[in-house]
Amino acid sequence: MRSPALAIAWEFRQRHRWGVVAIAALFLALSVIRLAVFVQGLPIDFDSAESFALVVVGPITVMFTYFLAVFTFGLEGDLAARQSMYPARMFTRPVATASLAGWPMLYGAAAAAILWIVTRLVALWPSSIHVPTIWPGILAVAHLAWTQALTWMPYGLPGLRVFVVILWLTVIDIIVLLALHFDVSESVMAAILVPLIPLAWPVARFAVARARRGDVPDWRGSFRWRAGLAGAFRRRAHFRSPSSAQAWFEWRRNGWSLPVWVAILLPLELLLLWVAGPSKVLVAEILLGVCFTPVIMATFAAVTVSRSSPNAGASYSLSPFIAARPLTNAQLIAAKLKMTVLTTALAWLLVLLAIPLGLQLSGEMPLVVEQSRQLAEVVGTPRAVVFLLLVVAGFVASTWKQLVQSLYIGLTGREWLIKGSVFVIVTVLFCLGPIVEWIVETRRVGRVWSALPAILAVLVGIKMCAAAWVVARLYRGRLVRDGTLVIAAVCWCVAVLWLYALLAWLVFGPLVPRYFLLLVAILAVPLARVSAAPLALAWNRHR
Amino acid sequence: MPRGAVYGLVGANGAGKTTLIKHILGLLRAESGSVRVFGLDPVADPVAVLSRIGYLSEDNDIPGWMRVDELIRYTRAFYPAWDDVYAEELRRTFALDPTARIKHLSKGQRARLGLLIALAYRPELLVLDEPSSGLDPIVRRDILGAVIRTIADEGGTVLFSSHLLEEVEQVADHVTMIHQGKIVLSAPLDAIKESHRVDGRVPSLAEIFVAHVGTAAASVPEA
Repeated sequence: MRSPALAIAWEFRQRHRWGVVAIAALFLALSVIRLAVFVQGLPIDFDSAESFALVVVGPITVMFTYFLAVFTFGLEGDLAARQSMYPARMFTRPVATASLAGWPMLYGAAAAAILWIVTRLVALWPSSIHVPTIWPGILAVAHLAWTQALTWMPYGLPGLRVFVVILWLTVIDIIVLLALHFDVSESVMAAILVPLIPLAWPVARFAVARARRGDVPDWRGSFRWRAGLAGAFRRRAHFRSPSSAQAWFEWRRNGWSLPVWVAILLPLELLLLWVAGPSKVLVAEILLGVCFTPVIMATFAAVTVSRSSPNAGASYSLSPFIAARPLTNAQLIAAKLKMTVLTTALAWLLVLLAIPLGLQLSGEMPLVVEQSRQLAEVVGTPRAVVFLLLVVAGFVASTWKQLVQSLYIGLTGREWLIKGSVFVIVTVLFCLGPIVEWIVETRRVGRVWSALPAILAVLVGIKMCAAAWVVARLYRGRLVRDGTLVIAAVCWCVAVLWLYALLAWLVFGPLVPRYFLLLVAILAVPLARVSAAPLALAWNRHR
Repeated sequence: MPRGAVYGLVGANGAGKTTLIKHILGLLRAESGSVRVFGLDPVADPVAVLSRIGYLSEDNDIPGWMRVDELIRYTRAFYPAWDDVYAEELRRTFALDPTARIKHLSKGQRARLGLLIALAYRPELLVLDEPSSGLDPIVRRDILGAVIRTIADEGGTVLFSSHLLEEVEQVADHVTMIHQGKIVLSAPLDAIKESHRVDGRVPSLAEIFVAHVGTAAASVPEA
């Protein structure tokens, strides 16, 4: 290694080479698919904004988020801590602070630019939507540079970093949206965005310099009353049982993240109601966005929930502190599940309180009441009420499902399995859009609709086979008590029948056969993946 | 291992001391043979085994976000035999502030806290995996004191893994030397010393260790 620049580059390459290989493989696969599509002359054309977003924006956002995490050192730091996220191990190297800040920024900028160029060249599907040539790439570089600068800065309060980063990136996005609103040309947009990039460098340099000399401000003194308040509410009583102690541990470790994320985003989303005016569609879209917030945030929260080690940045395997607790694997999982139920309930309590408040304050409440009344007139009041309750219950259940469905992967503690599953998900994201579009464009929707019961039946078969295998392993390994297995099976059957009965009552008419609803109910209620969590934990705990 | 003795587990880095301890705790599944602790399989029955073991490791990965009193309350829930008076006595002896966050404690204080939660329920078997590595002499004295007290007051058994042979020599009744995953010597300390007497001089444990595995150990890479 002849220079600090090469050493820093080598470290990035060495740590994240498999991630880069995976991204390259995805692009390669995409190029091959596109080539095949063009050669066969298949009429795939992404004309709607939604399908374009699904196929192009979704995957590129996932990859850009990965680059953000890599080049801000976010994968090894604590986002909520006061201390800089720049790794302290690098401060002892005989390298100037300017280089420590500059080289990762330069590599990040290059990676983001290459990502955009490659996307532009090989990952854009035919579409009538005009895609700019340069400025999205410049925006990506500016976002990355400023995220680096602001995450490397030490802050006076825990969690302040998240607030500052979101605020500043939102400001940049508002500038871009305003420019789009005024239909500025590509060159003007580039002229607006380019100066933002060099401006981030002195900020990053200042941040790394402060962190390097251990200059971390502490403003917590101004919030002593909060600590006193928290102390007054701190648990003093003994725990009733080991399980309740473990549930408390899980709650303290992971319980707050989802409600806090939701609480941060809700006001920003509900503010849009003030600009919605009398537009029913816009109000409905805003409310739908609000309802999807806990579900989407649960996807991110699930990363820490399914992590084996309680310490951020630690290895994937179960820490000896947890592994040596005198608890069964089932009790450890039960504590996690209890926590996920509570955190989902709290997040949704916030949503259900915030929506009426937002509607009332913004003056949109009469509009929503009128729409609800019209719905009640069309389908009848009981059905309308049940429909709304079912929608809310569906969102709540989806939030919980997002939190727990990756437990069986994360708790294995196997890095290859965890990273491999992420790769598979991104690949599916890549392929799903073109497949759906192909089905729609080639007018195969009717055929797919006819085949849907068979497809669902196959999926149900796979689910039941997987569940049977999991239950057999749980039984043979004595990982769960026989009684618990029976109770869980009965609860699952009751949930499926209840959902089926509700769907059958709600969906009337000859178009949807009853067996179809039963298949949907079986697929909707979680079984195999949640049941596999104790198996995964046992594999991790007793290696 | 019969009850009521201190077993010193010695070996070079990477010899297999921690691996053996992980087997005892059920954190590793035996590929061949079997592991029995208190007559039970620690993998099949972790609750019955772990509730009778006190464990302190060199890594001491106690979550930093907890406060001292929270950790004590949390740990207490798992052990019906937890002795509040003894725990409080240890807390005062080790000068641990109950409201302090664990991440703000020094390495020595964290080791003392780990020792507190490993001792306060008077475990039948105390497992110490390189507990004094990198600690100052005062904390090391506390740890050795705890080992002696566990035996003298409670009649428990201690498995003490270390490569600080002078420490092992101070407290161990029985010494087991491991080299490359195999036991090369296992006997009461006095018997080992007696059998290695040369010209009437009793060698130290360090000298005996070097005589058995020293040359080979030197060629073993660090774990």
